[in-house]
Amino acid sequence: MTQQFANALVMQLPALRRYALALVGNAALADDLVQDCVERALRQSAQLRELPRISGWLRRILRNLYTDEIRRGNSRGEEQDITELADHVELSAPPTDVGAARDFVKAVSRLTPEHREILLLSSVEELNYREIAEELDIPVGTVMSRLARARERLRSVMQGEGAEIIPLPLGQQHPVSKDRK
Amino acid sequence: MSDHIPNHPSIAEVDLHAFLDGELPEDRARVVEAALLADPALAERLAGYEADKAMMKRLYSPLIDRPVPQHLIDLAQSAAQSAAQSAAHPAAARSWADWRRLGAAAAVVLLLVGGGTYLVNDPAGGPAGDVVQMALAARDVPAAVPSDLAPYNAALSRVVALNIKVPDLTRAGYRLAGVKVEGQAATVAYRDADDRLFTIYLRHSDGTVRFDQFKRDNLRVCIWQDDQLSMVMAGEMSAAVMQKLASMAYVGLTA
Repeated sequence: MTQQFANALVMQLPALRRYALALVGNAALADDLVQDCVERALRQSAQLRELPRISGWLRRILRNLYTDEIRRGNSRGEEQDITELADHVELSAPPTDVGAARDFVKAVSRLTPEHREILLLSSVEELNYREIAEELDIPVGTVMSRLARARERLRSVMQGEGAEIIPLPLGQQHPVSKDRK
Repeated sequence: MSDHIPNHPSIAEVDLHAFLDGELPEDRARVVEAALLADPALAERLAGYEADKAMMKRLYSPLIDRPVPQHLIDLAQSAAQSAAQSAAHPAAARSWADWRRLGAAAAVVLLLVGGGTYLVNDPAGGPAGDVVQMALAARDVPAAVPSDLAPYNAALSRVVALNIKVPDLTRAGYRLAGVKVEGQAATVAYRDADDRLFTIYLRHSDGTVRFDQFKRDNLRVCIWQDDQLSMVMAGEMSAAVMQKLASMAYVGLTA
């Protein structure tokens, strides 16, 4: 364990906390996961072969912890109290966009964790397909198809917001092609 | 989801997204472009995906600015403390030994996440104003990349009086474009695939410790200074990319 590892770890904390909050939606759970993630990272630091890869390594640990949380049937892993996330996000939105920001956060919270994860890695962490593939340990082709599905799902949730209250009959003015088989 | 886009059998669904992400080879991108021009509905669909991608980035990226709780910083720092006490990993300690010469970096990082100055508005007039001005004035680096970096590494080490080398940022998509040594300072220049310039200005520290990141005009500037080394990084990029490059440069100086 070195000073440099500690420095790099501390430096990653703001980004790791962002990722955790965006991924799980619930601020309290996100903070717990980050703490567990740092503890695990300290214990397993020998597994990190290249320090520049620390951000992906930490996200991977955090995702595993989150998956465990969901698998244990802990409702906190599934139920998303996104109030705090929505509040944070609204603060950074222009006043005219506050409603749209809240709708967007709500729509993202309805995606599966897997879909949220890949959207965040692409849009917020700004990783390219190869980097996402390495981080998730999946082929680039799977990255592409998963990203396409996630985006399509997000679109349909966004567009479905109104339909939830008054279901649109077939052939209504928004003929959304979902390309489903 | 079907594999191909209706009315456009030659375009796979994933092509549309790869096009949006700038990951489609040029010949395929031209096919998608032609389809988009010919089909307003397809263009509208792409615009929807694009808007969502931009919205997510715009809304979620600033979450990085939330102050980090002190107990998390203390927890992460405990790694270094336990190492100092036990020296339980001699092999690892040896490989990073040089880094110790940079001394107060831990304090710098604490400032970064704990001091609330991680993302601040332009602190013109602050103590670092001078070094930022000098760094930005020195960004004009003649393009020249020799095959042997040893003389450059030696020059950088001499300027800052620490054993350092030119960081390799190719993994982040930035290739070395040139190195300039002027008096007691050096500037290392990099360019990405779009020819955008990223510079690292290095000189011996005036002894103050600080870490700031801010925007000046179109440039994002990151100052990283401990009691021995002063680094000013600048480029047209997002805060996320700057963070990635800054930590890569930080590690790359001694790696």
